[in-house]
Amino acid sequence: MAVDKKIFLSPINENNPITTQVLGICSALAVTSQLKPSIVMGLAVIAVVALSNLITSFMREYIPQKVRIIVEMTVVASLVILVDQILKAYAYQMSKQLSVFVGLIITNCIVLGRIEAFSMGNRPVPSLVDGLGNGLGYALILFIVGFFRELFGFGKILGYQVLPESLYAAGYENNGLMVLAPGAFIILALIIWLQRTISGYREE
Amino acid sequence: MKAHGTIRSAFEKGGRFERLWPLVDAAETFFFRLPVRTAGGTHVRDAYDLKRMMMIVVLALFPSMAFGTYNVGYQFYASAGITAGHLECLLKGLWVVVPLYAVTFAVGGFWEVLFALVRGEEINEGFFVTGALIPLIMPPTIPLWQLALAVSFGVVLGKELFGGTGMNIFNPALVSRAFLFFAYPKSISGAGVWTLTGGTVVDAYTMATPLHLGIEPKGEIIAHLSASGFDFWRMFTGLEPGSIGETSVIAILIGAILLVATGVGSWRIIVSVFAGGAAMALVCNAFAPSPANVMALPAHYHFVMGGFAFGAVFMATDPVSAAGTNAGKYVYGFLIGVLTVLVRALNPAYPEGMMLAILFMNLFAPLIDFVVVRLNMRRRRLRAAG
Amino acid sequence: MRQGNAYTLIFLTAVALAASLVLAMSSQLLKERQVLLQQADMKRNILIAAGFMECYADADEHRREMDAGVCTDVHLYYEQHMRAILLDHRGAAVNEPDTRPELIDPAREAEKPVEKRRFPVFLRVDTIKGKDTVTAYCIPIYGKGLWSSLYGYLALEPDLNTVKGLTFYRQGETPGLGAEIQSRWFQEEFKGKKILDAKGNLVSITVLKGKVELASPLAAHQVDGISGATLTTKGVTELLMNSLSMYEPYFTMIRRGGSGHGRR
Repeated sequence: MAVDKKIFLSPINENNPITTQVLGICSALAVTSQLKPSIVMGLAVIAVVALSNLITSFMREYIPQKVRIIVEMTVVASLVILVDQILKAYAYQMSKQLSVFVGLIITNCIVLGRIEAFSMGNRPVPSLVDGLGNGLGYALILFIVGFFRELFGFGKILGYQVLPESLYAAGYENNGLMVLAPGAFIILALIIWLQRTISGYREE
Repeated sequence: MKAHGTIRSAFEKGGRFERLWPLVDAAETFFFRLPVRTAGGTHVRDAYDLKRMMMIVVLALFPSMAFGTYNVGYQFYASAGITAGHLECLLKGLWVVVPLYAVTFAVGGFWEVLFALVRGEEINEGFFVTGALIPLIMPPTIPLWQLALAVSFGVVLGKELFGGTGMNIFNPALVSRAFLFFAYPKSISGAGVWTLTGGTVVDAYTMATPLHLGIEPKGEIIAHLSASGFDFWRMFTGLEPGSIGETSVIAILIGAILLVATGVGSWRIIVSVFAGGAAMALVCNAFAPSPANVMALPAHYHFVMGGFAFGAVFMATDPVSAAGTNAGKYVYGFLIGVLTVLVRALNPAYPEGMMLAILFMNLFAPLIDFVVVRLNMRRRRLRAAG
Repeated sequence: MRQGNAYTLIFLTAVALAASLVLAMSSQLLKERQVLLQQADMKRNILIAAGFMECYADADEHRREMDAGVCTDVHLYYEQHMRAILLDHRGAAVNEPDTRPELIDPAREAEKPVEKRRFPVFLRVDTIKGKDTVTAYCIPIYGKGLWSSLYGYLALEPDLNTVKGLTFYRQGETPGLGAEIQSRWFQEEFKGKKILDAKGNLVSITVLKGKVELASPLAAHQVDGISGATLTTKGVTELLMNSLSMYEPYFTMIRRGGSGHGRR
């Protein structure tokens, strides 16, 4: 069965859930002060979006219309708790740092949005691909924001010092704004600006 | 002149160097009389030419600039315990202030030209006032690279992102300062950065600004300030540590008179900022737990400390980011004054509230105007109906 | 599409059952590991203050991931070297087998009336010449900074006067200013400082606004401040005094030669 490549690629660029649809901003601001939690958060969202899309797509013929949202929420919530449990057991430091924001994936509009908009009306494989694409689109923005915030805010990448000591000796200082949440806003704005300048996209 | 004409045509629409037209245009407007005048504009509300208006602001800033430069040198020698002549002070000040201006205009100009070229617009003079203001609201010890970043931030994110001169919500000069304040707080807060020193500081010299000393007064607040050498008169004349242009209220008042007399700066805003500050100071005085508390500081001390006067005269009156309606200006200015004193009195982490108060009210200026216009419309409708 | 009420009910029950089954299973499988890691995390902070594992003494968000190796190390060191005891507000040891001293949350304790509070002490015990000897007393320190609550541990030498180590493991102060209390240089400053004056009264340690003058008679009770972070460091000074004075009855007893803590 051939799956349209656009299902996967479109949410990564021109239909990006963060930069174009401006969803999931809250967690994008909260966890991206360093690259590593941004990556972990991105992976967690990819897993939840893709799997919830897949599961609901399997069930779509059987879900009674009037309790549709409840069933979807149950699936999403179970997956999120599962992810949270696994993080606590295998990446404790990381789960402590991400704190409530893993649990808050439940309320991430991207997840329920994709179920409602796509998987409830499509076959499982395209749904899985759609979930992967949207999760990756979200994660990609988190990676970029996390990369720049850690680089300028701490002079590090993934915890390793990358800006040389000699630079600091010459008077360089880490940028405190990048560590604060507004720093994420500013980088996000710059990404959106750049993307829309290239694509010519305009808000109607 | 003929050569100028042929070269010029190569840059005009359809010419070989069409993209570089803004550069030619900028050079022309600076060196020659213009064939075209600004007919309408983003914040020109009468027949004034935008450039004329900006020149008056820069002229009005000149006393603060000159005094600030002198003061930087004066404080430098005072901190070392050396008595220096006026000329020495001035030269030392120029040694510090000229590089700040050079960096500000080089970086700001770079971004202006770049955006004008990319967007195919004329290079406008929008940065002229912003660039004149920025060094005046910096401590003299600010590292040049941080200044360069702050100017970039102010111009690109404070202005160009919103569409350029006249479209900005916030005052770009204050955006620059706010950037430094959050990104490199060590360079622009605390007690150590407001005087350029030669390394050693004599015991008799106080590094901290009056605002900083006011946070935790030992004993009655006015007595505590004057014990450190900061009596009202000294803070009024301005031979004290602080941001370069903010210290002398006299110099600021000269600028204010020029701005108001020419109609470039709104007296409504200036007066209401002071009124708001006075009102809030009275409220704070009433609730002050003891005379040894920053809340007990009287209004006229607030006016001469920190950036209150400078902000009221040169920042709050920026016509682009301020409220535009007359009634709106009163509300806008009054709330700036209130917020400034409120931040100073209640938030010990931010001894200076002026910058944040103005930025905050910039955000509300369109809303204030909207309400004023709506109320006006309703009044007229009722009158017509009645 | 099936729409009947009975069908809906059965469907929902099935979904709920499936979900709870999956979650219950995962919880069962992972529980043990999670608890082990959680405890290791708390124990690690105590060990850092007591002078072990200094390689981990970075700010919380920069710490190395708690992998199996670190976790085992922490538990091993802790078992070998640390003895926890629990005190009441008068400094008398209490025996409450259900309370785990390393899991006591100082913020929650601070809300209780003082006679209901419990104060954990962690003793570092080393074997010197074949004899178990206490080489450090480690206590939690907690208080308010400028924006946030500060959490940490302070370790004292056996003389109960000299600081052996100090660590802050959680704070939310201004990055670049107040947050510097988590930096290595700031915490190192405390080592070797004294909390008692010549007469044996508690004076604690004061974080100055500027630099310590070495000639000053108070230099042993002072550390350099962080420029631009006056209010955070004031909070540190206050919380050190508060936390230490809570333990002073117990410390006084030990200094006089009382044992205060039972054999193991």
